[in-house]
Amino acid sequence: MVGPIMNISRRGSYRPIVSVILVFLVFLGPSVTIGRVATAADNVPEKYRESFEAAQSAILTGFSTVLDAERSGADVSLLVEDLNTAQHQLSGVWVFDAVGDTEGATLAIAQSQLIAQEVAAEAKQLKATTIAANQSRLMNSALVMIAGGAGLCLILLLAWKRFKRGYVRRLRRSVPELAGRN
Amino acid sequence: MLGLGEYKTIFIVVGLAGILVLAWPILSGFMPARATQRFSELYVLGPEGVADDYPYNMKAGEQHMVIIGIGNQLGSSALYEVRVKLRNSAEPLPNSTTGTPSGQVSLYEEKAFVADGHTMEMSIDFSFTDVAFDEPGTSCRVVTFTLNQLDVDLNQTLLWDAEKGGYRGELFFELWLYNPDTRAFAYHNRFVGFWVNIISQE
Repeated sequence: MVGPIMNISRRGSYRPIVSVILVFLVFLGPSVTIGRVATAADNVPEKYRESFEAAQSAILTGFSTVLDAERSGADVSLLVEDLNTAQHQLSGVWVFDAVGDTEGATLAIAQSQLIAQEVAAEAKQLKATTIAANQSRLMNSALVMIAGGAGLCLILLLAWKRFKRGYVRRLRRSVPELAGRN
Repeated sequence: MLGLGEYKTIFIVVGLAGILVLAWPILSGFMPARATQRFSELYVLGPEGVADDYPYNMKAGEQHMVIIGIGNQLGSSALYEVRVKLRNSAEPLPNSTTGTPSGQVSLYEEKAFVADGHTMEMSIDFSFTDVAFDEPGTSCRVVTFTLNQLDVDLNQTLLWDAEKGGYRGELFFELWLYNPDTRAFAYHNRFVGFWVNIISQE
């Protein structure tokens, strides 16, 4: 089986099934022989090729959606972990097939595609949420700026008038000739 | 003592500074991002997870393990592919100057999604499952090579290195990066590797 990726995500309802498959693959025992480029897409057995390509395409589409969400400012690190889980599942196909476990291979592909589709859906939702949050934050900042700016101007204006009065009074006291004038 | 006009200027400056501070959350959104260096890291660690104790002397069938790490500092999430290759001392490595990958056939490929600023590590188990010593003292032939439980029919010749005294080959790992625009992987001009020495069973 492909090397265990060390930061696999722990979210989602498909996790128990994924764990069972991974445990099975880890304890598979004897290795299985296939041709060169052990895990290349063009080395997928014919019977799985269509579904494999659909799952791989779903993963790549999921990745594009995740990048979209990331560009909007969302934290996508958990979704990236989920994509790894999907890719890891898909990589199990070679091992399942080599030991003749058609059901396992089919399940791995289906699980992989399911995870990828969930990631794409979550990424879209995350993007929408992030955009809404950004707009709300921008609106709040604008309100704070307008209200705060107006308040600040008012305070400074009042302070200036008070300061000016005091300044003129001090000036008149220090120059007696000006005391009688307005 | 300052004049009234100068005090007025001070009040105006304080007011403008205050408005600038209040507007900063909005203005910062329009500021260009700070220029930072974008790069990816690729490293190989020994079985203990440190840059030491890399497997070297190997008998046919012996299982060994290394850890491959990928670090993403590209400013966005990335999909990488690690391609595992084996070469003898007469075959070329990837060309770092031209950024071209090695011409050796990829034995194994592992894809990894890595979030920006994150690092991903994956273990690679391998063994030279079937080695033929057809011409002792000249070369040996790696018939089958096992990577993460998948056997690869290889038939790779490793030449005898008289100086170092062994049939030496370099196991190396190339980093490829997925381009979402072209929907294809391109060599990312990073590779790491280590030498192995095949020893006979006797």
